[in-house]
Amino acid sequence: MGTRTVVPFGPQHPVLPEPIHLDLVLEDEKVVEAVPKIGFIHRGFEKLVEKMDFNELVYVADRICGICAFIHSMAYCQGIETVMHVEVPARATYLRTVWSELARLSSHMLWMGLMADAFGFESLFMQSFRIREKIVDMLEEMTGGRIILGVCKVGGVRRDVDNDTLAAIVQRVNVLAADMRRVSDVFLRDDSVRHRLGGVGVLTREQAEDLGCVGPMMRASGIARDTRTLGYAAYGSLDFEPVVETDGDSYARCAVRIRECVQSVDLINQLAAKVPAGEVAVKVSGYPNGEHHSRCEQPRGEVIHYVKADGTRYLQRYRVRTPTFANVPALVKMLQGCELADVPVLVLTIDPCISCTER
Amino acid sequence: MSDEQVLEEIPLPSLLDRVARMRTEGWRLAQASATRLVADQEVNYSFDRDGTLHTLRVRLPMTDPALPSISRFYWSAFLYENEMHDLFGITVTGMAVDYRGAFYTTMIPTPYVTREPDHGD
Repeated sequence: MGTRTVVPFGPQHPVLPEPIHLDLVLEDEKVVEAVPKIGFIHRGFEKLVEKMDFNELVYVADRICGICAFIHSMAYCQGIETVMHVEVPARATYLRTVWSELARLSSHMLWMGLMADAFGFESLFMQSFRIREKIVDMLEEMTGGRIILGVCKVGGVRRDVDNDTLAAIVQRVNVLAADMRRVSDVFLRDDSVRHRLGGVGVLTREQAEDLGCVGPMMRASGIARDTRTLGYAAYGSLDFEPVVETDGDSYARCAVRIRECVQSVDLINQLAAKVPAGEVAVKVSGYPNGEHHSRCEQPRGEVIHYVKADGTRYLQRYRVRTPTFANVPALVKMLQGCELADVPVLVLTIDPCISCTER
Repeated sequence: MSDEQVLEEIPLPSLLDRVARMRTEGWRLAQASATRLVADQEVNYSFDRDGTLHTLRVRLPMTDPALPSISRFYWSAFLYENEMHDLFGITVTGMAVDYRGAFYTTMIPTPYVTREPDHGD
């Protein structure tokens, strides 16, 4: 056994947009152990159930994270709606699904840009962010918000989108898809990208299952599980299969996210073709009484919003299990045995969202 | 797949046997969390298999709550257990990775144990 050195990685590090700390125990250049520490920006959002009523909490859920904001608010609303037996209008479920898929596109493009930046491919980083900007513009046109959309509410959505606007958005998404294909071709065919990501951080199917992985982390290891197949919102009326790769390395995770972008474009097209007419919200009266685990598929994987209510304005418990939280054990395992130079790539390969994790 | 959810309350002494069985039967640990109630606390372990969410619930006293770790069956449970320790003051014995209270840095120790007396209205 060589001399062991402990190298602190983070919480402030060029590759980390948000703070997470790892104590990396090294033997020469090889990581033999990684001890993570989070909690630098823990905000105690769940504790706010004691001060804010269940309707106000929608705004809190929307602000858990700046990347997957909308799906958080949708998951929370779905939880409350289930407990209160509220039937959400079909049009509202379709709009929620459109915004969810645009949020997924936005998040995956963000990840592609950050990953390109991490392995030093600056032009790829800029191209990814250029495309993402257009997606965020579309969200702004439909909802008024670019990041925190603020359109979900218990009982439906706050804004309707007329069919002409929706058709125009779909047209622009399809044009953007060609742009995305050019960028994704570089990710999937460029030798330097393949060299940097291929064979790095391999998780077998069994390991991914044992470590409790979710989202692209899990699907890149050959597990065809996607919470959207539960059929929440309008997903039950859409035709799609989970995107799966089998190599289990960082390159496979990249490929899953890229193929999910293509899938999101297809889902948005399906939604626009089927969106029904009608109201976008119903009036909700009374207070929730009961409990439910509301599950949705975030860009990073399954998120679980647990709500427990006792018939008053204030919930007894609001708990959010975010996908990054579920993927941290896998990160710890992947780092064991890797080269120090691969640590930034491996941290980014789980697409860490520390804001979510520090809800 | 259907979003079926099952809740099963079990006595604390049978927790490890029950979790071991879930593991053998191929359930995935989806989440674990604690909830503070008026007289006691409840801890939920939710397992997923083919879309069905099966939650095992145990109840703990408000004073000196303690649990055995399930990380021997589900290694990733150590994160949930450290969270329960830091936010709810639950002692979890035998965790695969024990941060000894340093997982979350909070101004008030175990902030989720007490409830705010003022509801803001």
